[in-house]
Amino acid sequence: MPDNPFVILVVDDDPDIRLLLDFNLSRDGYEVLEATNGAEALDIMREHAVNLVITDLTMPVMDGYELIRILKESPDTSRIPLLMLTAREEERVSSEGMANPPDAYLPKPFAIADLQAKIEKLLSQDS
Amino acid sequence: MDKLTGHIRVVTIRKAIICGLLLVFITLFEYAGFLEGINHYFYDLSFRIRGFRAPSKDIIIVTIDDKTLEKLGRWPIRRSYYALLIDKTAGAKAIAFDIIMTEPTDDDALLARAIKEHGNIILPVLIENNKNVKYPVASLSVSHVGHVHVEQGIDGIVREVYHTLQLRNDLLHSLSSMAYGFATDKPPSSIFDKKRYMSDNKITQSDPMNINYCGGPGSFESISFIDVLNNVYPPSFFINKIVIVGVSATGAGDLILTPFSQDRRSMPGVEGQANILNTLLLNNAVNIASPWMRWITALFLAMVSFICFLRSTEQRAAILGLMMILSIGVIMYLFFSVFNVWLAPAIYCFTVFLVFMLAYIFKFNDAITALDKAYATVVPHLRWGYAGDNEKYAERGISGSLTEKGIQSKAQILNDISRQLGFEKELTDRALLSDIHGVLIFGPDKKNMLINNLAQTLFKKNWVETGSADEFVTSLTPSIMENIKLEDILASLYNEKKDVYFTISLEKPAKKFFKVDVSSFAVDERTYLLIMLSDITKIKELEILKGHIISVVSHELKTPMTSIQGFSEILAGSLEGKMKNFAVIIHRESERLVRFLNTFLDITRIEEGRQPIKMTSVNLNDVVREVASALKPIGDTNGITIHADIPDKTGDIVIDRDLTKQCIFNLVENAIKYSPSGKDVIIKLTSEPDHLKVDIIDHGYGIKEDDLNKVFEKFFRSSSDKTKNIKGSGLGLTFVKEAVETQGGKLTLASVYGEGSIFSIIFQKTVKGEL
Repeated sequence: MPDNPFVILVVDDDPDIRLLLDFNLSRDGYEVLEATNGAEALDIMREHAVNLVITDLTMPVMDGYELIRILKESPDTSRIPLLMLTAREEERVSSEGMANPPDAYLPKPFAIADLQAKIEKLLSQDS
Repeated sequence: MDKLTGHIRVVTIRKAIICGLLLVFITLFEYAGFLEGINHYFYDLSFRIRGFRAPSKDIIIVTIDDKTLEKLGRWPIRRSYYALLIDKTAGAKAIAFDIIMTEPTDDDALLARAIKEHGNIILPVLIENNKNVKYPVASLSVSHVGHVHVEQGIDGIVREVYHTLQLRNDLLHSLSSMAYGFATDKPPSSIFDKKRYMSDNKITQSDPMNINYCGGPGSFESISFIDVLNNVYPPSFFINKIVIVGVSATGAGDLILTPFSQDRRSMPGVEGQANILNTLLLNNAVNIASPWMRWITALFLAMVSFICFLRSTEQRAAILGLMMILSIGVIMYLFFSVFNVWLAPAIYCFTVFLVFMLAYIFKFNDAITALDKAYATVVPHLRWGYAGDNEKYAERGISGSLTEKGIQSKAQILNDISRQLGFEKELTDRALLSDIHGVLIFGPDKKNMLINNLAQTLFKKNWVETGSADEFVTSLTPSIMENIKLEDILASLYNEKKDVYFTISLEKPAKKFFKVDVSSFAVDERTYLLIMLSDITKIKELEILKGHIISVVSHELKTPMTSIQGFSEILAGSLEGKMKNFAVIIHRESERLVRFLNTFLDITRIEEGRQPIKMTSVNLNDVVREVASALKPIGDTNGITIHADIPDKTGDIVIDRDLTKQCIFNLVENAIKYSPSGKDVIIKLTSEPDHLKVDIIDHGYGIKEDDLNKVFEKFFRSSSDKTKNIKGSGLGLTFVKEAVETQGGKLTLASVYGEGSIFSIIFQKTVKGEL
C-alpha cells in the first residue's frame, strides 16, 4: 500500500529491532523514520510530521520515559499516539503510573499480527 | 467427690481414735498419781499467792519458847507448870495440850488435880511410827484425848488431816476436833456422823480434811508460856477462848512443813494444830473436786481444744493453747481462793498440752505429706531425673520421716530437687527466651503470659498488640504475607492441638521477614498457645535476589528473542518448501521459550508479592466465554471440542480479571494438551450461595495417584508413556495455583489415571476484597 499516508517513528537503540519494525511496517506501506534515542526522536519530529511513535524504554542519552513525558506534555505532540515496547511487566506498571501514560503497550517479543493490530487500532482512533 | 469425702471421714475417725487413746493415757497417768506432784505444786502455789487470811480470834496459842525454858530450866519442864497454866487460863472453853505426856512424873498428881478442876482439858495421844498408840499416863486421869497425827504428803508437806482414827473397836478423834467440840458444843461424833467399818488389827484413817492454812509460821498470834505464868495476861484474856499449848523452843517439839514452807521454814506442830482447829471453826476446809468430775471436764476440754487446734493455724493454736493453760490457772485459783474448792489443774494443763502436741503432730504430718506430694509432682518434671538416691525418699507422711536422718533428709532431697529444677528452668529460659527467637505464650484465657525481649521490642516498634491473642491476631494480620485467616486458625488452635506457620514482614527498625510458628499445647487440660518467631530475612533476601537475577536474565533473553521470533516469522512467511518449515520451527520454539520465560516471571512475581492484584467486580460468565473462544482454534487443531457450561446468571465476584482469565486459559490449554484427539474439554461454571466454582473437566490421560500432589510443584513433569512427548515447562500449574491463591481462591484437583482430570477453581463469595 504505497499510498498509505501514515508516518511512523521507531525509537530504539537496538538496530535489529529497528530493522524488524522497519521491515514489517514498510511492508504494510507505512513510511518509517528511525531514531536511536529520545533526543534524536525529538529532532526528527521537529522536521517531520509523525502520525505514530513506537518507542523502547531503555536507551542512551534520553530514555523512553523522558520521551513519553515530553511528547505527552507538549500540546503540539500530545495527540500523537504512542506505542511503548516493554520487555518487563514492571516497565508497563511503572509507565502506567505516569501522569500521561503511553496509549498502548507491546510486550517484547511480539507477534507481527499483534504489532499490526495495535498500530491499526491506534491510527484509527487518531483519525 | 464421694471418694474424697470418704477419705476425709477415715482421716477424721483415725484422728479421733488417736485423741481418745491419748485421753485414756492421761486418765491412767492421773489415776497412777503421776500428776500428784504437779497438783501439789499448784496447790501450794495457790496458798502462797492467796497469802495470809486472818484466823479466828478464839484461838490462843501458848508456846513453851526459848524464853520460857530460860526461866523454867531445860526441856521437858515440870508438869506442875502445866497445872499452873491451867489455873491461869481457867476461863478458856478448852485447853488442848500438844505435849506428849505418856510417861509418869512426880508432878502428875498436881496436874491431875488441875485437869479435873477445869474439866475441858484435852491431852494428845501419840501414834508411833510402828503404829503403836500411846495414851497419856494413867496417873493424869484425863478424860479427853485426841490424836495430833497429821498426814504428810510424799513431799513431806502437811496438807491434810484425818480427824478420826479407828483403833480396833475405838474411835480416836483428833485433838483439834475435840477442841472444836468444846468450843461449839458439837462433839466430833456428831460432826463426822457416818457409818464406820471396824477392823480388828489395823488403824484406819477417816474423815480427812484439807487444812486451810491461814498463812505461814507465825500467822497465829502466840503468847509465851512464861508470860502467862507471870500474869502478863489477865484471866479475862482467856475467857471463852480455846488455848492450845505446845512447844516452839529451839530443838524441842515437832515441826511440820506447810504449803507456805517454800523456803523450808517449818511450822511448830502446835501452830499446825491451831490451823486445823481454825479450819474447823471457820468451816473453810479445802474441798477437792471429785475425780469423776475432773475426768469428764478434762474429756470435754480435750475434745474442744483438739477441734480448735486442728482448725486453727499453728500460730493461733499455740496462742490458744497458752491462753487455755493460763485460763485454767486463773479459774483454778479463783475456785480455790473464793470457794475453797481445789480443781487439781494438772490434768487440764496436761490434757491441753498433749492435745496441742497431738494436733501439731497431725499438722506436721499433713505438712510432710504435702512435701511428699510436692516431691512426687516435681520429680517427673526434672528433665534429667533426680541425680540423688530416690530410694532415700521415704513416702507416707510423718512415719516416713522416722528414718536415720529423719525429716532432714527429706528437706535435703527437696532442696536438691528445687535447685535442680531452678537450674533446668534457667537453662530452658535461656534457650526459650534468648533473643535468637521471638517467643510469646498466650494462656487459656488468651491473655499474654510470657513474652521475651525480642518479641516485645519487635512488636512494640511495629504497633502489634500483644496483650491478648485476639488483639495480637488483629494487629498482626496486615503484616502476614500469606493469604490466611488468622482469626479462624486461632479459634481452631484453641480447640485442637496443632501447629501452623506463616510469614510476616515487619518494617521496623529495618525491613525484616519472620517465620511465625504457632502451636497449641495442653497442660492440665488447659490449652496454651506458643508463638515463635524466626528471622528468615536472609532466606527471603536470597529468594528476592534469586527472583531479581531471574528477572534480569529473562529480560536479557527477551531482546534477542524479539529478533529471533520476529525475523523467523518474516522468514516463515517468505520462504518456500523445507526452508519455510525450518523457519516455522525456529519461530514456534522461540515462542515457546518466550512463553516459558513469561510464566516463570509471573510465578516469581506472585511469590515475591510483586504481582499487582487488581480486584474488581468481575462476571465470570464472560471470562469463561472469552477463554473458550480464544482456545477454540487450538482445540480444533488438536481435534478437541471445547464446551462452555455456563448458567444463565452467576452474579459478579471480586477477583483479578486478567489473572483469573490466565488461570482458566492455562488449565483449558493443559486439558487440550493432555487429551487425545476426539475428546472434549468442558468448562463448567457453578454458582453456589457462598462460592463460585470453575471446573475444567477433561477426559484425557489423567494423572497417576502418586503424582497428584506433585503436579503443582515447579518444573514437575508427569512421567507417562502417553505424555512424554508433550512439550511443557512444568510451570503452568504452579502459576495457576499461585495466582488463584494470591486472590484468596482455592485450586483443587481430582484425577483418575487413564480417565481424565477435573481442575476446580473456587472463589468464596465472602472472601478478601469486598469492594
